[in-house]
Amino acid sequence: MEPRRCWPRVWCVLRADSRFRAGGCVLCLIIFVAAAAPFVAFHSPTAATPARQFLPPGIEHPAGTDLLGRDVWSRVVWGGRLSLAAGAVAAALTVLPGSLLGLFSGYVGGRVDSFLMRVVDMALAFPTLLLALTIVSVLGPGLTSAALAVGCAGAPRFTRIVRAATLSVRYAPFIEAARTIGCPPGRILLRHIAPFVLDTVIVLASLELGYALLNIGALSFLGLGAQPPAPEWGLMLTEGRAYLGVAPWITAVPGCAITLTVLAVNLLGDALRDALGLQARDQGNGEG
Amino acid sequence: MPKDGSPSCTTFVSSDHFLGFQSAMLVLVVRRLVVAGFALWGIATLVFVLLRVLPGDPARTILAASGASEMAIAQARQQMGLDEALPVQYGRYLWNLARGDLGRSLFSNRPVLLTITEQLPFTIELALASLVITVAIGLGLGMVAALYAGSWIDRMAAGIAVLGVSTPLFWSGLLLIWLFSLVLRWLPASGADSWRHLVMPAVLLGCVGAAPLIRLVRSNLLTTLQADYITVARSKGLPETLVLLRHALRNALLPGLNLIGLQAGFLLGGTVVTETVFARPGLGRVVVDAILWKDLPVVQGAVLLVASIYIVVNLAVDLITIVLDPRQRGA
Repeated sequence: MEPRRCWPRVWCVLRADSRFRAGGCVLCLIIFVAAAAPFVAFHSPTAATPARQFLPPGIEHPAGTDLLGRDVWSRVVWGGRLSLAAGAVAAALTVLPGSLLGLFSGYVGGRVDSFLMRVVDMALAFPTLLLALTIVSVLGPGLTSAALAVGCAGAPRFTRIVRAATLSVRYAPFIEAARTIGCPPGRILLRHIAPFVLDTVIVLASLELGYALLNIGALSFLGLGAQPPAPEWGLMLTEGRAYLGVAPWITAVPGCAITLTVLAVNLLGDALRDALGLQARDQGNGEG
Repeated sequence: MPKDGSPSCTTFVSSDHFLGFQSAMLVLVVRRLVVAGFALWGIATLVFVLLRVLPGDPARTILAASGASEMAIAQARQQMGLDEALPVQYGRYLWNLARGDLGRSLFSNRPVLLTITEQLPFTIELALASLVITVAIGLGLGMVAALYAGSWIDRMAAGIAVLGVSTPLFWSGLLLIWLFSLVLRWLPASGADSWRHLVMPAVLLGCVGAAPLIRLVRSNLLTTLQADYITVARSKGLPETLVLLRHALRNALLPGLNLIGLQAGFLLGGTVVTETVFARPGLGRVVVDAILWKDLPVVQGAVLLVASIYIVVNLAVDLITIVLDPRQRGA
């Protein structure tokens, strides 16, 4: 049993970590650029001007133009909003229900717990991307359903790990004490157990955001996520794929954008994990 | 400890040590087989719930898009057996699965099983080739990183690992095509006709899959190298290579084996993206096309097959672990 976190100390450790600083700066920059899209992008992301087809990067178009003469830089900037939002929604859909279910299941125990864990086991028998594909096949292609599918597909894994973390404090004497003095279950869960599970949730949530961005990009790339003419990063890669030899910038710029974002998120996650002294949790995604 | 009175190593240790050992192992193997059987039933049920129960009316979902009349929809519903009670549908679904009948494609009207098994060899080929590369790179880089912990090699391996988990397959795949097919013209960009077509997809998937393995092997080997028995092995004058190969690696690799089972899931999911990037035939393409065409029987069959492969791979990994790790048998 470890004592409660001293967050100012964690912050000190984090600030000294070059991975945290680099990841944080890059991620803040990307979010800022996406948020300031109307001021950073000088062209419309969707307006087609076929006369300007496949212009190489230059002063007018810093990242060149695509098949329909659309400015690639503007599309990447506006696409950042879509991709980041979809990733955040998917990660939230994994983290929130996953942690609540995990907390609940671990705390209640007994038959409810066994039943929930059997359901989770069923879902874990699928590779994550395959489960997401199955859900998309029900919901139909689209960015919203891709975010929903990726979020739902990740939730079982999260539930498992949070449940394991809950179990590790569930039978501690101070929980017993809280119960004895008549603390209601809701309060025990939120005041006494949740703070111990929080470390795990924070670290996993950051890694989950990385997975979500990659998987949503993959679904869009497969044609099952965002639909044209939406400026989504994964979709832009599909669109540029046929013109790799003629206009490599169409794929290069959104590709770098995804990689940089996920890299920044993963660096943050790794730094957080080390600062909080957790075991490497990303080793495999099965039993937690 | 055994509660059911089954012979175990503790009860029969003195009389017949070997037999006790074997039967304990047998119990464990049978238990794992039963669990795997339940997992297969579980995925079948989950797929049933996801594809047949949740959409409400699959016949309408499939046909409404193509503008079919109400009568055609009703007819399709009857054909698909959707007008019966859910438990009846579920029972028939399981019975058909048990007989290996996955239904027919809504478009080509060919048996789904045939469509899938035609494409399966391509996916298996890709998955196996990338698994070999994953293991080679993961073990190699992980070991080197642990042996030279803190050096530039170690830091490079850590960098490769974090890049590997951060780069989307579809982007690094396009980069490979651009470099090796378009600029250097060494390898073909698409298809699956010869081993040359396999190189890029397998290397790509293998390298990305190796990233978590590098980290795991490194951290395990580092812990193992500090164990007492390694100090003993060294102090009795064994050469360092023997210490490493015969003593340290054996223990350090067991969790790695487990991870390889889990990575099989990543590889199977990754084949979907990789096959699209390199325009390779395979199960992944079948799934994606079937989803786009709303060909639910094909989606269902392919998803079930891939998930079953994943379960069987993990079963195999568990069984190998039981054989290799004496601690598993005693439990």
